[in-house]
Amino acid sequence: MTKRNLIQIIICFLLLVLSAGCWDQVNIEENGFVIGTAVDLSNNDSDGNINISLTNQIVSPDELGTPTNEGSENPPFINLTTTGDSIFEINRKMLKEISRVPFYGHSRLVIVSEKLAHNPELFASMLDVFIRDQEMRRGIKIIIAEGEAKNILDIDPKPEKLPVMHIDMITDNSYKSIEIIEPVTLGRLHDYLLHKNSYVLPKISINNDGIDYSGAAVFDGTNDKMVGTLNGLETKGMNLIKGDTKEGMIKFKVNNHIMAFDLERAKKRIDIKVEDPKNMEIFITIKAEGKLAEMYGSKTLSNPSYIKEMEDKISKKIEQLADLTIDKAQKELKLDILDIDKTLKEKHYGTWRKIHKDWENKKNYFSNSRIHVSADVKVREVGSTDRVKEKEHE
Amino acid sequence: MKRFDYADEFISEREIMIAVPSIVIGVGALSFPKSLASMTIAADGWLPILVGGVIAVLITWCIAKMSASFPNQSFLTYASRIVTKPLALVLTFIFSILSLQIAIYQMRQIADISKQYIFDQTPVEVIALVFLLVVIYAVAGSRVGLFRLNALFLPIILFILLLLIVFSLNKFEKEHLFPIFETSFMEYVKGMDSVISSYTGFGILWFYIVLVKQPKKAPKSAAIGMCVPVILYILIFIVCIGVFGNEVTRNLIFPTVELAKNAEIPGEFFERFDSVFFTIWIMAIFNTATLALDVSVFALTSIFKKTPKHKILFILSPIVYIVAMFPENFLEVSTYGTYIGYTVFLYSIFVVILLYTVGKLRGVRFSD
Repeated sequence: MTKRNLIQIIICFLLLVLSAGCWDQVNIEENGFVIGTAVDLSNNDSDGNINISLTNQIVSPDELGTPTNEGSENPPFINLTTTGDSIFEINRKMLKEISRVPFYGHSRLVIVSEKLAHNPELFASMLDVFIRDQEMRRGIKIIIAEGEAKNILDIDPKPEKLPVMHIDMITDNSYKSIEIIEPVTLGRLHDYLLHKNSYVLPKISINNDGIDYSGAAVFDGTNDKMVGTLNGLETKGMNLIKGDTKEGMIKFKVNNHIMAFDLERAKKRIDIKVEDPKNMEIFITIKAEGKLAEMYGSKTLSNPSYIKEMEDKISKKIEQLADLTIDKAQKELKLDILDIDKTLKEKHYGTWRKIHKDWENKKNYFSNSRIHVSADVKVREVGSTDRVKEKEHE
Repeated sequence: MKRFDYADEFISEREIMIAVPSIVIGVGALSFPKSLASMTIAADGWLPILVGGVIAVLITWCIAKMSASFPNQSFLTYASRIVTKPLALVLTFIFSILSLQIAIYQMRQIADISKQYIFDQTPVEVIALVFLLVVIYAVAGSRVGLFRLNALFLPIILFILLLLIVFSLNKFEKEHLFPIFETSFMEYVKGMDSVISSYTGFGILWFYIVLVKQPKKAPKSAAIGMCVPVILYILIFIVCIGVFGNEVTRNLIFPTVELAKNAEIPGEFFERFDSVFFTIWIMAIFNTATLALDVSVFALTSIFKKTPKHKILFILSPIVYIVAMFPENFLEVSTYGTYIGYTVFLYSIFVVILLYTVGKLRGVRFSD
């Protein structure tokens, strides 16, 4: 072997040793997979600084078991709480308390307590790290909790194994009900925060036998502070106007008989008369169609005029619900939670540019506008039977 | 060690068609929606991309046409005939420097992005060095081999981009695209500004057309090749706006990377699309960096005829590495990128006009 060959071989081996490998390797067992986070406002310390307490739900895979081998009795997760005044600092503090490095790549939820959300600016500042950090994904959902947020991570998750998964799946079912708003992801919230418009986030609370995911928290866009809430009915009205929800139930009455209409498709159309910005007229048309899901009483449905009567009643009900929400938005909140601003921007950009700063604030063009709602409902089907019981004696 | 030799050191016009998008699609595609969105309203930015793209395609065609009218003559040879030898030498040298800077910028940028998104602990210096070593290895080999490599990588890159667009569609909201055409003229011009620097790289044609067997067909292929990034950029931009909205897009540092992070593959089996996207994208950057470095070496070998290619490459490599490490933060890197993009774009236009007018004035015969 010549000297040259020898040198070549040595170089090859050196390269093999020096250039192969991974600087950043983390063994998968050493990762603490954070699947959900709860953020609370903890008591202010003596200096008057605001302290945040962060609770991470970390999966412990050993307890989770495999499909064939049930896990042990212990809960398959660890809830770890730490306090501090910067989220990043808290995360670093957590390293001292848990053997596995928290990894947020698979996180699904961030639950923020109402108390923190009421604090102007703090809400947005707290979310900064969630949007900025490259490990976080923009698909993480944000939920506002009534009371302590960390308590929600302790609920009994049956039939799921992890509380976060339980909540996550409930939020995914939102399309079935118009009393809940669609989940809001970090990406969308980033959009909300960058705009000055008001917005709504879903709300969650604990009741006796589990969690209650309904209603919405209203945020003022100028300082990103939570200013109010919407109950189930008001959320329903808002969803109907925004046309966000695809399915939902509307209860109405015909001749004092309770009936349920299963909404399958709703379309909205917004027309705005912008000639006089101080006195805008807004026309909202809601076109809904669906089927009759439940009927009390025993009138036959094969009568077209009866169907017509029902359709009128449902339209009335929808208009009522919408008016209720509009009333709340215009008079109580004075915030455009109905996204009429968006339509204005899309269709009347010139006017929008002139007035968008005063839309919800100062002159509040939104509250001074007159909003008319009309609904047009079609009952397409009535289910598999005409009536279920014999005609009663009326 | 015997190295594999290709039958000839010629390429076909199809390889030119592949090389053009290969060098143009680089790190620019990851960040251009940000600067463009901040200049325009809603999705109006597609217009500057299109107009800028048409200009770029035209220039590409002109360059290819001019080089092709001197078949089998290198840039230095025919430029010398038109504008005298000393000036031709200067032009070639500037080309070499500019190409080198493209390579430098691409390498630095991909090292930074990789560190940010994947290698949290690895120093930028190490990532850049490893990347550079691979690039040097590629450039040190056969030039025609590079084109083969481009042909191998480009379909994969285009495929992953289409996947990215398809998987982003379920989060696409068409409301984000409105209002249409509300951007003022000046804002469009400023938008063009930010697009142009992502279109650079077609200057390679000055040097590579000489390798083409049938140069007559080259201008058309080159122009078609240049259309690929134009269409892709329009698609990426519209999808970015549709998914994020204008306001968010202008606030994201790398909108396209965020798009990949945001993409959802149906079925929940594969949660993180960005990991695949990154792997493939590094191939795209590799294409850009190798071609840029190779052109730089090619230009220098035509000046210093007696120095072997490897020697020039090994002198250039440390320069690439050291200059790449100069910028101190991401702001300086992106300023550097915009500046290079601009210079290369304008310089290419300048050379086309210079050679054409001087050629006409002095009566140099352009074949056909």
